[in-house]
Amino acid sequence: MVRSFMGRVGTTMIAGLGLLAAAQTGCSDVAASMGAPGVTPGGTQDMRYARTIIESGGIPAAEHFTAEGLFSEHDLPLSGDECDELLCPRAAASWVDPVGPLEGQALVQLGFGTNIGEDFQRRPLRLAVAVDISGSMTGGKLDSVKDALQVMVDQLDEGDELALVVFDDAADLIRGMTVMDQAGRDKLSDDIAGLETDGGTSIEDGLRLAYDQVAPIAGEYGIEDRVFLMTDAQPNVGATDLGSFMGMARFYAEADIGLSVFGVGLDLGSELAQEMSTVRGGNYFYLADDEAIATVFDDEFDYMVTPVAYDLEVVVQSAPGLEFGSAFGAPLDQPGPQVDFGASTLFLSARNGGIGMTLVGDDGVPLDAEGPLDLATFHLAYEPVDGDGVVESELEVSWQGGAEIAEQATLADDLGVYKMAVLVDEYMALLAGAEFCTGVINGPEALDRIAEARDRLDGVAVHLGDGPLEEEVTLMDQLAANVSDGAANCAPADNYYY
Amino acid sequence: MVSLRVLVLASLLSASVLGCDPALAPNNSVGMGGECADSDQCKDDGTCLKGVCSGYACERDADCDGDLVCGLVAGMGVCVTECDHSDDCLGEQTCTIVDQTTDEDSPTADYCF
Repeated sequence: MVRSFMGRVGTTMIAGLGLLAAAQTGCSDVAASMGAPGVTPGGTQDMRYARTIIESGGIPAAEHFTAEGLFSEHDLPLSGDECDELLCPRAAASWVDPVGPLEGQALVQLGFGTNIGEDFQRRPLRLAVAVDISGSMTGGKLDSVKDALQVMVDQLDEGDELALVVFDDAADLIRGMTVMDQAGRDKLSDDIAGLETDGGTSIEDGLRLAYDQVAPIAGEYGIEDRVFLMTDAQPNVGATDLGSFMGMARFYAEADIGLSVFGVGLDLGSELAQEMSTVRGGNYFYLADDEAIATVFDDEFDYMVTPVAYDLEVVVQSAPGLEFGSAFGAPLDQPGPQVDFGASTLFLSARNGGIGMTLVGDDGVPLDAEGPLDLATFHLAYEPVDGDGVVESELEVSWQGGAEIAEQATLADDLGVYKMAVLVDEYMALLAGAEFCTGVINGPEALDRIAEARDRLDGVAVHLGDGPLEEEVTLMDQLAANVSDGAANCAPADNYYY
Repeated sequence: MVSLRVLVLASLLSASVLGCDPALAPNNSVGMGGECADSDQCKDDGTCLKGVCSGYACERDADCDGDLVCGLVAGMGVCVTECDHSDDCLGEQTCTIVDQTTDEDSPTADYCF
């Protein structure tokens, strides 16, 4: 359990989320019907792409899913004192014997409380959308994008501004920055309805033109500056010069212009998702179907355009006899040499998110499940949105021997890390499927790991009556069936899976 | 009515000649670090960022005009204005702690951004 929150070193007091315009005029409607928001790392914020592959009979490759995407789809709450600041770091541990060859580890979940309440209102948006209308977007993909845009336009209001860019071989500005009053919404609705596919794909041109709509007027206090990219293609994320996709994303990220990427189609370039996991202010969603569109662009829209902190970096000072093992769900771009894990961005979320990390015995001896045991001190640094600089704090973490969950197969000191433990098992099972496809392990071994994860997920799902975890059990059953059917079901590591 | 129109036109012309209104600058006429209203006004491959022509790639200070220096931004060489306070910056740019990240000895720097 968390023993203490030592407070700030480089102090910046953040006076609630008036920052996020709760008290400002011209804001959009409240997302209060969903209850108070949580905080989750940015980057890939769903696992719909891998789910779609599995449900289509395939076995995802390792780059088709991320731990943070899996965690983001579940509510992982950590208890703690009432939070009266923008971010209140919290941590709790579970004792795990994870799927795979490793034994006896402490899994620690780092999460965040926030003082943002049910009356949250997002900041007004200054948004440019770049839509891929290349020939590959036929077959319903562009229709999905148009549906998503229309859902979004319907909920923007006169406090927001929107520009629309399309790209195929080249980029065109369809509508410059437009106030989204009723007249503006009508114009954009007509523009969206008229989009048709044509030509090749020049993502860099489309992205550049979209940034050019936001960048000249960016930086106004209380406004969220952001670019949306909606595509089925794979930009050259290996190039990092200023004219490249990643170069532009990183350059404008330093100016606090965020980038949200929305993928469509089963032939999506998954490297895009991985890279987006790490850019400051970046997040990524896969628009698998109408339900995903409604979730992302209606129910959770206000949260996904609301970063609350940047550049979370954590240095782990392990207790004597322990050492840092692995991190799960920690999308951090270009970490410093001393940093153990972190996240480039923390966003608001409809669910409580978190980052997982393991501590192992430094002599290879499995940890004892008996507590209490001091585990580590986390040295955290992060930059709150609209703050005055970097906040530093310390968080001491210990294992209490299962303070919250003691009578189950998985022991845990808090509810969030109890669920995270079996989600890590699921992540390891997904990796087992990928390793089967690359020949690292054989079919029976992969099936053993998937079955083990499936049973653990089922145990926690039944114990908690947790519907989303029950869906993961079904997914594991489907994955096992796909692996049993053989390597012909392996999704190519690159794109174009069918 | 006519005289008012003349006055307005004269005012706009004056502002343009004096370079006071970035919105009136012709395309491809504003150099790096100059004030702009959109990226078309910026020379070469510059981008108008918060009212200032920015984003020029460089390898050394000599590649940059005037007081701009070649700074490392997220691993890329970019012409930037060093600053101590936001008062040092033009347009809506502010004095920002920028990640250099590939430079381990100096992972951040203060630039107008």
